[in-house]
Amino acid sequence: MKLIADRLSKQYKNKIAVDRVSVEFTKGVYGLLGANGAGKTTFMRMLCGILAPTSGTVTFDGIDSGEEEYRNILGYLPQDFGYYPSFTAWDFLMYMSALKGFDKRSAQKRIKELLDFVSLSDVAKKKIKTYSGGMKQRLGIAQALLNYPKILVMDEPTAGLDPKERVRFRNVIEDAGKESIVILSTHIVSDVEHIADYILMMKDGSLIFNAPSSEIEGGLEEFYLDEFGE
Amino acid sequence: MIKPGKKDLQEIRKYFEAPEPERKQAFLEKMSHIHVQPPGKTNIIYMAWVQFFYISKWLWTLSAFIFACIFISSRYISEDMLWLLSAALPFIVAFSLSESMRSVIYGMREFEMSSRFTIKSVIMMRVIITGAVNMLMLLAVAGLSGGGMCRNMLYMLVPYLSSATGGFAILRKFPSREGVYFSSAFGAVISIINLKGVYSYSWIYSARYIGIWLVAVIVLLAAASYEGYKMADAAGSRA
Repeated sequence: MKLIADRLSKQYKNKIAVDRVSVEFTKGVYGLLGANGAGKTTFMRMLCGILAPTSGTVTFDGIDSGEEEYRNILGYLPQDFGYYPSFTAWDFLMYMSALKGFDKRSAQKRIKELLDFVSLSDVAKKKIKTYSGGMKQRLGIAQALLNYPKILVMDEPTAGLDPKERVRFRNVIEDAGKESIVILSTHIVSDVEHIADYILMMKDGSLIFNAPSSEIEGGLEEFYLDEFGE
Repeated sequence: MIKPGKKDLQEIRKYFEAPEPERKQAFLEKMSHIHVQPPGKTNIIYMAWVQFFYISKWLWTLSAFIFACIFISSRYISEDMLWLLSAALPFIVAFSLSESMRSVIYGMREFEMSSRFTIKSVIMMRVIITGAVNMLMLLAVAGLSGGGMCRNMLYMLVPYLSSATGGFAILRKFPSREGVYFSSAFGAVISIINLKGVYSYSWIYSARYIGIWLVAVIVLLAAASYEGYKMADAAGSRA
């Protein structure tokens, strides 16, 4: 199981958002850190195949990121997302299940598990527009886990979660990392400090650090501040 | 052993509380490892069926209402009402187009782009479904109204397909809520032109010019199909 980003670049008119980033991901949890505008979201969107790179490739065991087979094993939680206004949590997950290729019965079973997992079972039939930010985020996490993804990409997944929910989320990610490639970007260092097997840091579109977290001496936060010269 | 009936079970529930589940979380975590994999291959028909039910109910209601008005007016009031009321068809097109762009408008685009059935196929399905249903309603109105069915169809298809062609092109350029407004405005322009034609140039609706109407429909059908495909392709393309 290997996800390879090979010399991935994304250039807009006057700006290089991602500059020749090459990374090999295997099973485990990867924490992607970086300041605002470092290129994390652009990089993750290219990993998910929803943003075409200017150059470079993304493949998983030889399958290109633009192919249906790749999307079939992908779970993605974007940084910003919306929902159809009439949807309840149940409707939303049923719709996403259909898009991911589930038949109705399998979808219902999986959705019940996930709603319980993210503690939204009691409010499953309520409209998403009535949800708090944390509840919407948990729903987003549930949809990312629907198809037992082999690649789980989450952009700022803990935004809006309270401390208790963040701890619970870390447990979910740790578990997922045993069987899948989990890549999550965050500003909150403590979210990845204890669960990430590998730490990646981006600055101005380039990957400036990529190593197992065990190689980081001292606290991750101090190391992060040192790397970014703050 | 006597099996308790439904009423017996209801009575039991009244007086006895079910015990709390034990080790529920561990059980759920164990079950989550039993993979229920999604179907192996793409099933477009199932997906189209799913999309049909996700199209807004208000769109079907509004379309049915407009078509019913066209039919009743042309059959029971005046045959001339048929192509007068066909000026309302561009608005059905505008509403249908807004349905196609829901993913973009409501921020679901990235979810749908990263799924197995991508946003491009979702939009194409919605366009085809709403287009097919509208065509059926057009056929029904054209057939059940007075006058020749073919002639009625041609008079209604020209404003309908003109709005669709322009609307798709606009939405390809402006894939957003604003694009929906622009395409609605375009539909209004088509509607006004249609009304102008009926009132000021009624001679173009005579049997003499049926050939021109037929050519117009063929050209517009090809143009609408092309623009519709390009719109879906653009909406689903990786920027």
